[in-house]
Amino acid sequence: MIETEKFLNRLSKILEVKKIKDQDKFEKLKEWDSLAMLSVIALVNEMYKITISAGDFKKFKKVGNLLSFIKKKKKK
Amino acid sequence: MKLKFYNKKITGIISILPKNKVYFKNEMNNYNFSKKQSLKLAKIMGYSSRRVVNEKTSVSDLCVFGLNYLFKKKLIKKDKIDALVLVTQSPDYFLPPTSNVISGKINLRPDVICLDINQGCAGYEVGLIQAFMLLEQKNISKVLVLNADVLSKKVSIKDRNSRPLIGDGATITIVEKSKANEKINAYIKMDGKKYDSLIIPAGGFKQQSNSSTKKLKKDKFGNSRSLEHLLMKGDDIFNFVVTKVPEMLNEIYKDLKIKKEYFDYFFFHQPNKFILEKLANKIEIANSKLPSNIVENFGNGSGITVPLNICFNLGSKATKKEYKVCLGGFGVGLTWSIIVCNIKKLSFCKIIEFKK
Repeated sequence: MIETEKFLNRLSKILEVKKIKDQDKFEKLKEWDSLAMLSVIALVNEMYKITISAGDFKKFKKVGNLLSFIKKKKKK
Repeated sequence: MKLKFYNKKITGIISILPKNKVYFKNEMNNYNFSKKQSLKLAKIMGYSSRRVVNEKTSVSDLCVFGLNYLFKKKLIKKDKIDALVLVTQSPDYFLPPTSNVISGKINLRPDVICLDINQGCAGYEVGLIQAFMLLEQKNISKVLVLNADVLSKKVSIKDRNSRPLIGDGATITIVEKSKANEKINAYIKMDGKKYDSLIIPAGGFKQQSNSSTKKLKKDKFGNSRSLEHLLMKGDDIFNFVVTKVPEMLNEIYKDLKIKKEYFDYFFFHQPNKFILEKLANKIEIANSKLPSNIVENFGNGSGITVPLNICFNLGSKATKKEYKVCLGGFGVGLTWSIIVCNIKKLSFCKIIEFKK
């Protein structure tokens, strides 16, 4: 269980959008900057104890990519 | 590496800060970000004002000023100093060692050992460890650990990533032999594979300064810096701190059979408020026991943040009482270190301002 809803809620607060969707592209979001990225890295670390780097965000173009990465990591 | 030291103690700490205050709000127009973004950054990272030197002030100037203050106020006798350990990443010269320069300026006897160590965020712990090792010698009774940096000179004014957090300053810590059966535990680790997480890529001997290393280049987030400017990979540093520091602490709790409640204070290096708060949450330490107010008041001055933290948050209380403290530094190298010791009735613990 990765509490997707709770994660998405907190993610939308960081990115200052009402509702965040799987299809949203990080780089297209108005509030996306290095601080937002660091805040997402910190959120993932806090909620799932998973370490991701700035480089990983090249793979996570969309919110959905990040979610599936977390799910995959948590299954291991 | 785990190290143990006996019968040594810190007897005084003084911080020397440049008078010049720079406010984030006055600088934010230099950055390629909206006002809203910058204010949000300031709030989360704890940016307000920081202390920076002017172009002419060097590490030796700050240290000599502090040392002369101590001599003048009779807080230390010149002929009792046996060694100077200077920890800096911004020496006056590539050569000679800046500690030799300082020794010359304050006229110390040739018997005094002068050592420069290139360390940053864990520089207080590295300097103390070196001082403790020197004190194992029969003829060495008093060592001065000087932490000093003027790194603001090497940060691009168009780099929102690093510019708003870097501060300058110096601290002097007196370390002596003690007869009070003191025990000190020091833990230190290094990971050189991550040497480029915090780096000034050019201007040294590997990539010498030339016109191309001075050229500003914009990164994907809109920060501009040259190869001669400080580069900090925030994500690497964040992941490193919230992983490695809790690991080391847990090792310490286990080895020394203590719990977190053992400590009166956790005086940690001050990268920024964001990282410190995440770290404090992770190791479950209340903010009141883990001060995080140095960056907002003075900026992050590398190796000076832990002693400055003690001077700012304990101050004269440290001259009257005894505290069980956990000193922690983490950063450039990468290097991380924790020292478990007591801060006990120091002969001084204060902040002074550098005046030319």
